[in-house]
Amino acid sequence: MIQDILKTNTNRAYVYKILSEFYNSPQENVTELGTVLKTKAESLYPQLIIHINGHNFERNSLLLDFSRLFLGPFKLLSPPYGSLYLEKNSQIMGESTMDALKIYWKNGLQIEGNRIPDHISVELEFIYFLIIKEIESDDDEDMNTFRDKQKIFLKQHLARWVFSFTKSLSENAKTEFYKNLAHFTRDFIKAEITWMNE
Amino acid sequence: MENKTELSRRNFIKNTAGIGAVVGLSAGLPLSLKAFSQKKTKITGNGGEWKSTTCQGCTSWCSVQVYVEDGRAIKVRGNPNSKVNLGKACVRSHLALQQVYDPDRVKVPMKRTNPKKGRNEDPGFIPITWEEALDTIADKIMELRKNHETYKYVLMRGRYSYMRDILYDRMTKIIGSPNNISHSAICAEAEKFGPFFTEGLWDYRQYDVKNANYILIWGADPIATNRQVSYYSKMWGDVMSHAKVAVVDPRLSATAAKADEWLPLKPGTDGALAVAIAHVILTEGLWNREFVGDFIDGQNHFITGHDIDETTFEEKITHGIVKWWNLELKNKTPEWAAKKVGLDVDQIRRVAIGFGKAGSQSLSWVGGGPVMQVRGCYNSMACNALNGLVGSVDNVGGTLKPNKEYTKKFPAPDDFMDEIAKKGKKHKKMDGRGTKEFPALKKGKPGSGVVTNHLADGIINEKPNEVKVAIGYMNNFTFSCPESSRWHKALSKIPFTVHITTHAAEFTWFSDIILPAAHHMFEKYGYTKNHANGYRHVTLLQPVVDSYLDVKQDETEIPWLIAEKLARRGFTNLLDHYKTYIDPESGKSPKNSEEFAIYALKYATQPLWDSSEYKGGDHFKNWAEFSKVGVWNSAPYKFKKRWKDGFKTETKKFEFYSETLKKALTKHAEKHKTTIDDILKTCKYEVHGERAFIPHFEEPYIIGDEKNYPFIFVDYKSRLNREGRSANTAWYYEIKDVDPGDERHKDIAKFNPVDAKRFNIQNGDRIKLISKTGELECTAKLWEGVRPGTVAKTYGQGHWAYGQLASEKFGVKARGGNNNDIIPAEYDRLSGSTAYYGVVRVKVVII
Repeated sequence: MIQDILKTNTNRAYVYKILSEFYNSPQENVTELGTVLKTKAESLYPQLIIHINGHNFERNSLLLDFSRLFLGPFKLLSPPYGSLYLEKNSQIMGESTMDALKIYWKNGLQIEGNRIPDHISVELEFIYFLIIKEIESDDDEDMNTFRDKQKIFLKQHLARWVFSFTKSLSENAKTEFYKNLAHFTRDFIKAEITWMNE
Repeated sequence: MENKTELSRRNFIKNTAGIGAVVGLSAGLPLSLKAFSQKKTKITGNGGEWKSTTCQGCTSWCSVQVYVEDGRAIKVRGNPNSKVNLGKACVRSHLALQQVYDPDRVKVPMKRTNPKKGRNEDPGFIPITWEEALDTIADKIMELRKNHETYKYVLMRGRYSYMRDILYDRMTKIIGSPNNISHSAICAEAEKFGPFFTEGLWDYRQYDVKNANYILIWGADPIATNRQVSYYSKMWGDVMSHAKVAVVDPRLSATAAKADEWLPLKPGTDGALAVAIAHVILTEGLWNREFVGDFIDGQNHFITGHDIDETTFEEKITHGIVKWWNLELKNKTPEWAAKKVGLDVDQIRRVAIGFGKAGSQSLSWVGGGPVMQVRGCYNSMACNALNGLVGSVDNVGGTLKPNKEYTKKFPAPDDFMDEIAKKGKKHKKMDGRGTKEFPALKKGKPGSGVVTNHLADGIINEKPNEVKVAIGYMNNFTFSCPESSRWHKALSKIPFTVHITTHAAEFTWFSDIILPAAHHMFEKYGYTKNHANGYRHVTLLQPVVDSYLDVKQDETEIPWLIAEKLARRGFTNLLDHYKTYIDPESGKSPKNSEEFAIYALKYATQPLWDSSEYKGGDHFKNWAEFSKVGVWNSAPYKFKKRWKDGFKTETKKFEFYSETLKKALTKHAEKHKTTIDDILKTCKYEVHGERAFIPHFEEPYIIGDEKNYPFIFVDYKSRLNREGRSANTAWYYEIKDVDPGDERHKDIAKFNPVDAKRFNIQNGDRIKLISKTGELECTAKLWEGVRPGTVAKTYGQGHWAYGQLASEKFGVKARGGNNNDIIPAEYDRLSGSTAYYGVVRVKVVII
């Protein structure tokens, strides 16, 4: 039982972490990460692996697509920031962003470098962090606390906007990689919500 | 329990081994964070704090305070410590909140991947590191230096803080180029022309509205746009209770809507109205005897149509009143003017007498409207000369110059310019200043003023040289200069262009590298200075929020970082120079870009905050106190000081006959071995002979014939513009109706109902405005607040590349229309200014 939970959590941690990486500027290791993701997702939610193919990705075309989708510079096609979906003013650093930031602070974390606190990559990494904390917990109470924190953060933040985001991403992405990433992220978070509610 | 923990850890580690490295998870350290660090957590819930900085949403440069909570800007107010804007802040300062938190801001350095440049070429920008961006820039500069081609480097400056010289002047000179090109000529340079050639002041004035009894405003809208809008907006209720206000403007501006008199004259005819007012003042005997003097016999000989013998008038602090009368004013009656300007004779006379009777407490306020025109410099002189007639210049209730302030210049670059730099700098500038057709007589010195918009032609024609490397900052000439299509061509031609900017714009579209700039109001160190209310303030720009973007400060950090890269390539002069900007407090030389930014600011403002260097105005104990207060105020204005000390003109007097202009024009004509008349003709002025040196009326120079282009186009700036940088904020569209006559979410061209009936234009029609230069699309509206025969539209919309809200279809279709697409590239050549107003006729097509 414990072994199962651990295995599940380890796989979950990987998936969150790799997804978090995928929403950063694409590096040379995209293909390699994809392979890891496939292994982890397969034992976790086998139905998701249809969204992962083993293609090699050409970094430059990914960079171009990444820029037009998430960076601009002229216009973001699929803004990766929570506040743009949760608030009406189309601004970064909104009330909801500050709420996420304060949750990080309460958990002993500071934003490193130049990152908007409710960037999807940051929120995914935060859940990864909570999973690791759950794994590292010394007792059931701690484990439950960190599991609850994951649930609450998903409920109050990521899950409230991620589906609008992945919809936009699947519509605007030109590359297969980002289209698949949209579908995988969508189905993964859905599966996570179901799993957590079980 | 212990067992479980052991088990879980072991298991986790086992699972992560091997593949962990792929995502940065090492086997021994299960937690690997990229977005976070586990540092000391900030204490929250303490509430916020007001922090002092400066708004550069227009050149009012109000000192403001930002309410910051948990590192985030919440709201804005005027800085109560400023004696210039008195704790007030206009609508534009609030829009800045939506700029700094605009999701479309440039977030990281980027580079172009599409080598082709053009309006229809998607640049294909991708993110790069600061290292790569700076290395590329340094390589390009080193290549110019290696080939002794440093003069092929151009720095284009838009808005600036007074840290500007670090990047604009010092870096350009030390690299070795003459080409630091500012935006000034697309601002309101011609506004300074009249004051300079009458009273020796090349600057913007302040207006003593507290004590004025009659305020005559020419094409300015002080409660909406530029300058000291916050101050004048605060004062205007009082002003209206004690002064008569008359506004000369073809459209009903915000100020005109509240005025006692609105004079919607034919665009460009301001000079005719001004000389007619002067005529009335003189014939009615309303001039100021103390300032101008009087006829020796005490009788008024200013009789319409009559010449006067100069010896019969004893002038005091002015020069050339009789010459002005004989050469220009004697026949310029209100009846004559009425036909030229299209206003009622009675109104002209009423305003002239009202103005004259208020005496030295009447002020003539010259804005951009009448002067940023092809022959605008003479309007500038004519309107400003009225202040001389009534003796309100430098006087209580009149027009004042800026007070003295004591900031320091940055260290001189000379010792750091090597032979390559010295040779390179000797080449001619790229904007054509000083050529026969561009006298650009800034401060009376031919060829010393910038001709910003002509730079595009210089680049296209490689005249005088080709441009190989360009840097632009806080500018968008591709949008803000008339006949913008020339800029598309020019920028497509430059092989390597860098844009330092908070927002990618039409200029960026043609660039090779984008460097993300810190926002001036929230993220940057700097200072600005401005004047109103009888004071001058020096107000600090300071980083007041936590920034989560990978941005750097444009005028300090970026040149430092480039200097470091150049030094690594063996060219250390620029970095050596920057290292001389010593922190006055610690005596230390800067070691990195962050230190450089703040040391440079402390260095330049030292006499304001270091008590050992105190020279006047507000007194501070130290830098910390100055930084907290955010603004230094000068001593109060000394009225009539220049009456005593003399004006900075050739005659030391207020010149109605400008010996100062005569000298400047003579110098320019001699340089080109020709006559002044030939220069004036080349520069498209009507005048010749002696009248060239006096304020006089010139027929407006308007492109397009009335038959084919029935409307004179009246361009003016939206009060929401933040100098054209706010078009991607939601509030801009939500409250656009704060511009009188405009409507929310639309870009409106306003027609008088009389014209609308004639041309069958209905409210809400989608229309095209077409000039000989180009066309734009917008929405028609019927409005009585516009003079028949003209169509008025605010500048500000019409972006095709400026973020999600600013364009209808990004990169393809603009939202609204850019006025500069239909305004031709024309100039007031004596001042170098670009013409925006009264320069073009348009026709209307309903679509």
